[in-house]
Parts: sequence; structure tokens; C-alpha cells
Amino acid sequence: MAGEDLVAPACAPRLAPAMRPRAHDDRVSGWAVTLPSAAAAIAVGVGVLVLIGWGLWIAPLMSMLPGLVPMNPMSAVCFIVAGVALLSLDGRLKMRRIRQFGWVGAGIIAAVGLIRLVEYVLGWHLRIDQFLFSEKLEHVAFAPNRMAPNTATNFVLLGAGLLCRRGGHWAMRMLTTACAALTILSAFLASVGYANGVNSLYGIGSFIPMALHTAAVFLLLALGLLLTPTPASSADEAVPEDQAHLLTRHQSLEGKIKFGFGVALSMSLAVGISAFLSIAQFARDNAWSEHSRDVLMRLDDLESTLSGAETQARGFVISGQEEYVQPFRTAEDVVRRDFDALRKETADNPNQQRRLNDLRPFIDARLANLRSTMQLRRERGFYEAGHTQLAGEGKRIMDSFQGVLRPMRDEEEVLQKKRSSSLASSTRATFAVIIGGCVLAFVLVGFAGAVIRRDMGARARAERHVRELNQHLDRHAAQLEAANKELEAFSYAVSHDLRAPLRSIDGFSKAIMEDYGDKLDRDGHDHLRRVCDAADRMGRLIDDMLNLSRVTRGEMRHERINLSDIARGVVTELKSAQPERDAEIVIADRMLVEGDPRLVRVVLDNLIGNAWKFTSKTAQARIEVGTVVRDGQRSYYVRDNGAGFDMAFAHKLFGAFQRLHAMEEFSGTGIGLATVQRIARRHGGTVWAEGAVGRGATFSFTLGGAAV
Amino acid sequence: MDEKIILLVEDNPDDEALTRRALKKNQILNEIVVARDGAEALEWLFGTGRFAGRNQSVAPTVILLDLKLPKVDGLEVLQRIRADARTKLLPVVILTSSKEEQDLAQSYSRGANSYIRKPVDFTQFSESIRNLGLYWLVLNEAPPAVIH
Repeated sequence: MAGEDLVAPACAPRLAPAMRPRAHDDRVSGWAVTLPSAAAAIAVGVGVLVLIGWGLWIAPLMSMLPGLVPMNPMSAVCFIVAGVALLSLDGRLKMRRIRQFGWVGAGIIAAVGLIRLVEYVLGWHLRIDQFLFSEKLEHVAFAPNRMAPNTATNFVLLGAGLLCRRGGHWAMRMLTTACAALTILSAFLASVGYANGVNSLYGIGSFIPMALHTAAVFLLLALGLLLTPTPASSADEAVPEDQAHLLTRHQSLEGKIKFGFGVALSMSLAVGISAFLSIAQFARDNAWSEHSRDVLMRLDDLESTLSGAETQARGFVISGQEEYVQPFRTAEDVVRRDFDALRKETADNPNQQRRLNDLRPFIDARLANLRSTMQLRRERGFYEAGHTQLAGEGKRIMDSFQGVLRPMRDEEEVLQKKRSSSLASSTRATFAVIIGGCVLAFVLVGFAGAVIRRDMGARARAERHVRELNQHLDRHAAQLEAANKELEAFSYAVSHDLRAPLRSIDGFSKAIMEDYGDKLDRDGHDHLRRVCDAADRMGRLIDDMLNLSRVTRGEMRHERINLSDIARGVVTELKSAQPERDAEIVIADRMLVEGDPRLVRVVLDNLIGNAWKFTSKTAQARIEVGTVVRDGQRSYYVRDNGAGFDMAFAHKLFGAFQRLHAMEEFSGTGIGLATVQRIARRHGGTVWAEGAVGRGATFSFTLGGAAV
Repeated sequence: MDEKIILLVEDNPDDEALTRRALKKNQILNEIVVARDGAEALEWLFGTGRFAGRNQSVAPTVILLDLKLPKVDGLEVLQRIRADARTKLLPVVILTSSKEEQDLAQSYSRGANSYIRKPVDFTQFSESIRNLGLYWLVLNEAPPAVIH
């Protein structure tokens, strides 16, 4: 398939007029061809630079920015291969090797990605990504350096997309579009993740993330793959006719519209998924941020309800009124509830849980302390209770309580700060994804639209061109028809008027011979005989010429005819005309051809008639009519062992009025073979002869592709 | 009277002379009426123009009709003969130079009874005329005369 594509430019000069619109089309879609190739070249360049970076230990080449993950060397190799594979899709490329490498290359990167994924899923250690610089891989940022799972997935997608791109079927094209769109999605998310510091967009779980320039090159390659023009199928290229050309254009336009729809759908899907993912991230960050705020508020609540309990207890101690007891108990319950809630809310944080464990005794102690003070007030009166209070036991407990509570609050505040900043970046990422995705989709769909629009313009031009050509053809056809009419009128006149004088010449010569024969001497008789012979010959000449012109005029019928039957008919006529002749005639059976029966009959009339004529002086004459297949082409032949001819004059055989024998030797007008040739040509076939003087001749003919 | 008349429609005097010679040579001595063009033939047949008042009961036994004629050509003459009740049954033999397919097809489709191509060779021509005369004047039974 790759090879056949190469044929197209080679035939262009031969098809000059019909190809004009196509040439125009090439110019229009030029930038659509350049873009993918540029992307491919950049991919190759980046891959080479990264490998140099690993080789010479140049960090900026390996990871672009300090602190970022370096590109795995195997990924760099895959990018070089993918770049060349994409480049091989460029129709202008004339290097057959590169085109063939395209297949292999696409297969290689898909295989590498697949192996890496299998390693991840099944936990195997094939070390496909550790062949190169295996020592250095362990000593860089994010060591050990490996091919990330999302990178491996992208290689599988890109490889599959490149492979499918070579298929002409629309399903293959859709698959390519889907693969490219998924790669773009993944690379786009990674880029957005890097731009906004949302690492969940460029790394999967705890695995090593995709490098920044890996994402960028994926984005470029996938875009390039998406924009690679549809490969023209070889069958389209082989048909030069304008109609076929228009048809091709129509198909390619339809393909482009489908492709455009594919791009639009894939992009809206990609933007949708991206938006969903980043909004989900945003929601998670938001939940965490709110969670921290909840914990902080709960800590405040705990403190304030505890001091509320203290207030109630003091009120009771001072007034001794029982109305303070119930609120105190309620506050006690609330404190416990708050504590339980805190335990639940910080279940994810072992530090806070530990601190809560520390806090619990102080709360219990403080509440117990308050309860005992109240008991004292009830039993021993205000003074005793107040004294106990003043002893400072409560304050000491509360100080310890605060001592634990403060770091809890500090930690939660730090967490909240972190979480709200991550919330802010995921907000930015969400915006970037939605806006960037929309812009990307807009640009791509716009591009597809522009290509289709230009294509439709080119198609309109091509149609106009075809219309002009058709008008031109119509004019030609009209001229031809006029010429044909004229020729017909001419032959009609010839047929009627040229023969009449001959009849007079012959008739009156004979009248003279009959009426005045006694007054003429031998010479006079001889002269008159010559006049009659000449008139007769000219009569036959006129008839043959009319036959010759008749075979090129009129409608041609296409029927299944049996050559064997026609040949037998011709032989029967010849034999009945000269029953005294003794010739062996062999005719092959069931020679079936497709053609005009009347014209094919003329061919056999002439060829068998010639054979009959030129074997008239041969003892044991033999005529053979048969068929043979040579070089896949079936031909029919009439062979005789008669007078034959000198091959040096073979080229003169088929010209009108050409004769190779003297009139006295064999009669004839020299038009028969010219007629045969015209008939063969009208059937899209040809005629040729082989022979030697005194050893017979073989005349062969084909009737175009119609021969069965 | 049982005289069998031949109507020869022929514009070429040479051909007329040769036809007469051939008939004479073959002892066909019937009366020959010659029309020099299609119009004259029709006038004679229908008793109009130059032949106004001609005895219409005298009809030719056979019409030898050339195709290429001045004024009204042979095919039209044939058509007019077949279109008229008085002449539509008359045997018409096309005697002409060509054997173009279109001539053959049109002659027969317009009701010619026979089509004979004049050979260049007088011996053959004479033979044709002999056969023709023998067939149409002797062998063939004429159609019944049309009563006016």
C-alpha cells in the first residue's frame, strides 16, 4: 500500500488536464500536511535531546525544570520512533524505506507501552524501561526513574493510532481519531496539572508521574496524527477520468466531514472528561478544606462548652441555686458529644487522634473537678467550695487542656491553609481545563471546518473544470458527428454514383464486342477486354472501400458470439464457390468472444478468404483457425501453409491499398487487412502477422479485453 | 388487352439503354414505359400533370425503381405508390447501384417486393435482368386489378 501511493505523483504529468484541480488541492491542504510533519520533527528532536541529556548528565535536558521528573530514556527512544512513524505518513515523502519503517515503528511503540502496562498490572519485572542508562536511572529526582503508567498508556494509544492511520476503512480512521483524542486528553490533563500544580492530573496514584516534556510531545504527536491527511487509496489514483476524479474528491470530502465530526465529538468528550476530572478534584479539595474548618470549629466548640460548664458550676457555687445544675449537666453532655465528634472527624489523622487521647483525661478531670466542687457546695456550703476553687486545681487542669488543644488547632490550621491553597490551584486548573479545552476544541473544529470549506471550494472548481471539459467534449462530439454525417453522405454518393459510369463502360464495351465484333481485329478485342477488366476491378475496389468505411461507421453491438461457428460459415461459402479446391481446414471448437457479429464476420471473411486465396497454388493446402493465450492475453489466429510473405514488409500489410503480391499472381484490392485492423481496433484489440515466403502465414488478432 | 407493361424509373440514359439491351437480349419484348424522375413516374401512374387523362386501367405489371432520382427520390415514389389504393398492390422491384444497409432497410420497410443491385459487369447485369423478367413477368401471378 505504501508503495502504491508512490505511483500517484509519477502519473501526474501524463494526466495533465484532468489533474489540474488535484494539483490545486495539494496546495490548499499543504499546511495540513506540514503541521504533522513539523510535530514529528519536534518529537524526534526532543527525544534526541533527552537521550543526550541522559548520556552527558545534563539535568535541564532530562527534566526541563529543576524539581520536575526527568523523561525516561525509553520514552525518549519511543518518541524518536513515533516521530519517524508519523513522518512516514507524509504523502510527499518519496523514501520507500521510511514509509515501510512507519509500520514497524508504530508497532514498536505500541508494544513497548503494552509491555510496560503489563509490568504494572501483573507486577512483572521485564525492565523494558531500564535498558538505557540503568545506573543513572537510580540517581535522579523521583528516583528510580521509570516509564509512568499514563505514559505507557499513551504510547499504546499513539502506536495503535499510527497503525490504524494506514488503513483506508472509515472504522480505522475513527479508531485513529479516538486514539489521538485520548492521547491528547491525557497529555492535556498532565499539562494543565503541571501549570496549576495539581499532581493528580499528571501522575496516577503513587506511581511516578509523566514528565512535563513527555506530556508536551504527546500533545504534539497526537495533534499531528489527528491532522494527518487521509491516505488516498491507490485505486482512486489509478483512474484518470474527470468523473472518477470528482468521485474521489467527493469521497475524500465525505471522509473529511466524518473526520471533522469525529474530531468535534472526541474533543467535546475530551473536554467533558477533563472538566469532570478537574471538577472532581476541585470538589475533593473543597471537601478537605471544609473539613479542616469543621475540625477547627469543633475544637472551638469543645473549648467554649467546657468553659460554659465551668460558668454553670461557678453560678451554682456562688448562688447555691439548683437551677444551675441542669445547664451544667447539659454542657457536660455537649462536651462529650463534641469530643466524640472530633474523634470521628480526625480519624484520618493519627497525630490528632493521639492528641485527643491526651486531651480526654483533662476533660474528664476538669468535669470531675467541677462536679466535686458542686458537691462540696451542696454539703459544706459556699465558703468551703469557694476555697477549693481558689486552690487552683481547676486552672491547672485547664492549662494542661489548653496545652494539648493548641497544637491540635495549629496543625489543623496548617492543614487548612495547605488545603485551601490546593483548592485554589484546583480551581485554577478547572478553569484552565474548561477554557483551554474549549479553545482547543474550537481551534481543532475550526481547522477541520476550514479544511472542509477549502475542499468544497476546490471541489466546486473541479466541478466547474469538469463542466468546461464536458462542454469542450460536447463541441468535439458535435463536430465529429457532423464529420461522420458528411462521410456517410459521401459514401452514399460513392456507392450510387461512382458505380453507374463503370456499368456504362463495361456494358457498352461488351455491346461493341457483341454488335461490332466482326469489325474488330484481335487487338481491338483485347483492348475492350482490358477496359471491361478495369471497370470490374474498380467496381470491386469501390465495394471494398465502402466496406472499409462501413466498419468504422455505425453503432457497435456487443454480443456473445461463437467464432468457431462464424469460421465454419465462411469456409462453407468458400468451398461452395470453388468446389474443385481440396484443402484441409481445421477449426477449433467453442471459441467464444464478445463483439459485433457483423464486424467479426468481416474479419474472418478477410482472414480465411486470404488464407484460401494464398493456398490456391499450394499442394496439400492446410488452413487452421484456433486460439492461444500468451502473456495472459487470449488471441485468435488463422494459419495457412500458402504463399506466405516476407517479414520485412509485414508493416505494410495492414495499410489500405497495400499489396505484397502481383495482380496476376493473386487478385485483390489490398483493403481487406486494413479493414480487419480497423475492426480489431474498434473492439479495443489488435492484429499482427507472422510469415515467411513460401512457408505460409499466421494472422492473429485480439478483440480487446472482451475475449473470453 | 393483356399486354404486360414494365415501368422503368431511371434517370440515367446509359442505364436505360443497358436495361433495354439486356431485356431485348433475353427476349423480353414487353412494352417499357420510362420515367426520367420520380415526379414523372408518379404523374404517369396517377394520370396527372403531363399524363393527365391517361387511361388509368393500363397499369404496369412490374415497376423497376431506381432509388437515386432527381426531384422525387425512389423511396418517396415507393411510399406514394403504397399509400394510394390504385397502386398499392403493384409489384415494385428496387433496381439500384448501392446495397447500403439503410437503402435496403428503408426499401423493404416501405413495401418493396424485391431489391436488386445492378452489377458493374454487364454479363451479370444481363443475367439479373433475365431472371427478373422471367420471375415478375412470367412466373409471378399479378395482383388482381383494382376496380375504380
